[in-house]
Amino acid sequence: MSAIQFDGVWTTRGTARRAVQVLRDVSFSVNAGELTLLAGPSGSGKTTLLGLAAGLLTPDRGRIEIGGVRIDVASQRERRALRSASIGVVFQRPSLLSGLTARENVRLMASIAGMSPSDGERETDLLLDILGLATLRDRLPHELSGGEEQRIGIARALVHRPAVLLADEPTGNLDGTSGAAVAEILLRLASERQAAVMVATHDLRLKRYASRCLVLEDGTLAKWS
Amino acid sequence: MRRLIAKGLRARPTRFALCVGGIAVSTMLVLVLFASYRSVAASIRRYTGQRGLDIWVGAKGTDNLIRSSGVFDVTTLEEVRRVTGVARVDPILRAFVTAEAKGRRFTLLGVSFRAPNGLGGPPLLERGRTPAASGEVALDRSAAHRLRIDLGDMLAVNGVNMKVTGITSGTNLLATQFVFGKIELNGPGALPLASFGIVEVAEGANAADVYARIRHQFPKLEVMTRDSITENSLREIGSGFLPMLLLIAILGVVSAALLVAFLIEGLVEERRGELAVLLATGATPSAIGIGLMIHAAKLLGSGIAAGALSAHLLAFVIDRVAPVIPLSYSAADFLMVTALLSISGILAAIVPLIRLKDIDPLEAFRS
Repeated sequence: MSAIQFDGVWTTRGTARRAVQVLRDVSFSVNAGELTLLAGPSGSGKTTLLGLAAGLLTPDRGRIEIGGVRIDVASQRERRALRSASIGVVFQRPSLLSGLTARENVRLMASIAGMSPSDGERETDLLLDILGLATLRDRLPHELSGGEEQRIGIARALVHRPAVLLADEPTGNLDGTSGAAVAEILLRLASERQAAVMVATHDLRLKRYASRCLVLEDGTLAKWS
Repeated sequence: MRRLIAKGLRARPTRFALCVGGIAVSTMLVLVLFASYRSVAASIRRYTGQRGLDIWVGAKGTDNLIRSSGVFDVTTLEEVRRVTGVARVDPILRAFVTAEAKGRRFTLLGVSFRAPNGLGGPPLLERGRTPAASGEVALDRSAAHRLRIDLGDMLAVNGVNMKVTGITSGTNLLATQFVFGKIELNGPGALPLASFGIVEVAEGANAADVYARIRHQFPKLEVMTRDSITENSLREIGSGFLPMLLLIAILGVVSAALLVAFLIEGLVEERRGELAVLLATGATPSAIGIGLMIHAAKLLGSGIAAGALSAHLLAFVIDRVAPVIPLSYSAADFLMVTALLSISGILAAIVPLIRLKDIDPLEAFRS
């Protein structure tokens, strides 16, 4: 069973009068432990596709399964529950809560996912160790560099051991070295934790870390590589 | 989770401190206003609550100590004294007088009584002694402070020089203060008139029965129990004071509520990206809303506590340095102000919280 499954997905965005067809008949699947790149020019529909996979958008047509659950027909409450339990999201800008330390930001996600405080703390500390952030755990976001913040964002996305990890331009704001470090972390964690990782990016340097690459052009999957 | 969300979304310390300061000032303002009213009311109660001031008689229509100005022939009180159950009757003459000393001039509420031991004299002497003879006065400590006079100094009352023998406390009505002197019923220039006759009921007699008898026998006089003249006087004080107090209290509460709304609105707008991430990662809007509400509650709690503390500090300082405004705080006022500010603040915070629903979790991807 695929961790992410898109079958014939069509989506429009915008208002009823100015609707734009964003995705046309998109079908693909991502297996557990795989890191899949989603490439394509701006406006090609990458973010929309991630939004659909996260259950933040509903397709006009087609079928989307996350971990075997039909997210496209689920209620808002069910989607939220699925998101907090099974999906981790890494954003281009991690937008950590500025009043919380690095550790608390990660623990918050564990709490949102319904983990017990002790499990949440254990998993948080484990991830911070793995990501080389143990010494930064008590720092506030403004005391961290962009790369460190992004790694905290990754820890936040993984603390509840999601089956699916969605990343939107995770290296977009990072220099080459930090970007490579983040990509390696994503690959390693996808493999170790058997998570299906899907990374939307313009950064084709990440290609070497990916199992395969999907390229979106004008809303259709133009190539697989 | 909510606690972490509240902590994570807390405002910048300076902004938080400024809002706490604003709420504290509003709290202090409302508490001080209530306290000053309470203090004035306490002064009235203290005066009428003195031992022996059981029944009051006055000219018809003269029903309070503050604004009534009727007088009656003091010889009528000889007849009142003969009513069964009356132990003692003393006249007082109250009038607004001009007090002048050291180039300063104020209007005071003069009460002439049968000094030194007659009914209706000063309720509480802070220093010195009760006036015993003509040409002696005891005046409120606030009035003494404003006139820069003390025991032994001379005070011109309606142009007549008098010696200050006593300083009283609990006799400040805010707009004016009491000054006590000896009533002159005989002698050159004296008018045998009284504003009130104060009746002390004999031991063992029933005050209600005595009151009923006086009322029956003197239909042309206003006869009041201690409670009714107190209430009437409070009504007179309140009629001028309470509408203003209410208006300023409302403005204070509204100001505090606006500050809370301002801070929460700022948080929702400023932290839009963080809120979108929270929503995108599965946090419920209600959890975020409660987190922000906790923040609003902390803001209100800190502001109210700081305001209450400052209000007490202010009362202490005023009492020591310049006792011109009497302040008498009560727990009931504090609870009421807390409830008012809390309810209005929480309601005000709901308005910006409604805007949470305008935040699209997809914004987290676009930031």
